[in-house]
Amino acid sequence: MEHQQAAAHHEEHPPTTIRQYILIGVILAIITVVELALTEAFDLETRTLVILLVALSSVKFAIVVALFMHLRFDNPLFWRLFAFGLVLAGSILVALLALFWGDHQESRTVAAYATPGAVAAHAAAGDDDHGDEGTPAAGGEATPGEGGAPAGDPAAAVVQDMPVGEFFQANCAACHGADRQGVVGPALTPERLTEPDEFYHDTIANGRTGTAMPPWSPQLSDEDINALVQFIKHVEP
Amino acid sequence: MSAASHEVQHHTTTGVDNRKMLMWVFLASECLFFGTLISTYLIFKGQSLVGPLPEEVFDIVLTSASTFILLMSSLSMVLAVYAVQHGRPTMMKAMLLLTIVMGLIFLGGQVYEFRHFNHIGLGLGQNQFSASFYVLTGFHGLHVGVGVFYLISLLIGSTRRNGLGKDRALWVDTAGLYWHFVDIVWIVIFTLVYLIP
Repeated sequence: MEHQQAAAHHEEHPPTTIRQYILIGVILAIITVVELALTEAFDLETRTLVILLVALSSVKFAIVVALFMHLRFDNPLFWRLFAFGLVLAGSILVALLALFWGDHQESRTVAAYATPGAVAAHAAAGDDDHGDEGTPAAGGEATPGEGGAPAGDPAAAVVQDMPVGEFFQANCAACHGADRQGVVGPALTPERLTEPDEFYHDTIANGRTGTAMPPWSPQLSDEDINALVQFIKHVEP
Repeated sequence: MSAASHEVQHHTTTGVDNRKMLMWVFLASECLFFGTLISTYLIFKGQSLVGPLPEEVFDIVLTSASTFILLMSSLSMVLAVYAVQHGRPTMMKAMLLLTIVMGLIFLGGQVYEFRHFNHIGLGLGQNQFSASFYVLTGFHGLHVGVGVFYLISLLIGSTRRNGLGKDRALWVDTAGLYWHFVDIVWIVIFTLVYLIP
């Protein structure tokens, strides 16, 4: 590829050559491979990983905007326009995360999923769910300090002096449906509820911010909540 | 700008071509569009009441491959812009075609991914993760699709008798801005949605 007489030209196009464009493309590809390697091959701490990934993708972003979209060589007006949009979008991101981020950090990720034990329990509970409905205890065994799963038939459990099914109809059915197929709230049937017991225990106890699901821990004991979890996870509607 | 330009360049108070200005204003507004969708995804993904959850369904290798292809389509796009600016119509057409093909491969990957997710029980309304995920990546895919039609229209235009010469390079240049923007949005989505645990 012979060199164009770019220098002689009036500034009509950016000074980048084909060779340089290809080099930029290769650099972008390398950064992507590094990102992938960081995620898949290295066992980094989440915080470190997030910082590295955000930094690397920002570099990619900047390279494309400056050199492929030619902002580096173009009229500064374009740059200011685009920066305005970016800053506004970034502010929205920060504002929304500041308002709502805490919700699931506390209730779900940490409580139910972040510990390897919970994931293992998930696998065990998953195996257990298929086939028999009579042995919920296996799914609940990884719940130390929560009273354990009630023995025996989950349909026969008692919550606040009421059979669990009756309690459900009185307190949960308005949102989740009398047949538990979901109305405002999601369906609560054994085939839909594939997460570990801790997850549902946590949802019932603490509610779910941003939804109509209220926290029940003020009224219900751990045993009561466990009974409800076993009921919705193991008793067909 | 250039005195040699055959196309009428209106004098504008900003000193830049209005078409290019329009594209940059549009892209600035698109930042807000995707910014809110990404925020929504980040907030909602952890609030799902039922599975499947992101870590159970993502195929990072497949997504990395389509990410790579979209990145390379940006390279072929910028080479198409280079070609038209340097008066090399054959190279421009080849690069436009290559960009279109890579855009279509990316879309094919997304269609496959969506169908696969749907197959394993992650419908649009399954949980908050799936709702926000499909809306975000679906809108991005829609942008890629629009970009493909945009480039096809340029390619058709370039085959006409007084098609896309050096004097009309701006049409390819603005299309390139759109295409690169769609690419940088994916750079962000790939990192925030797929890579970060």
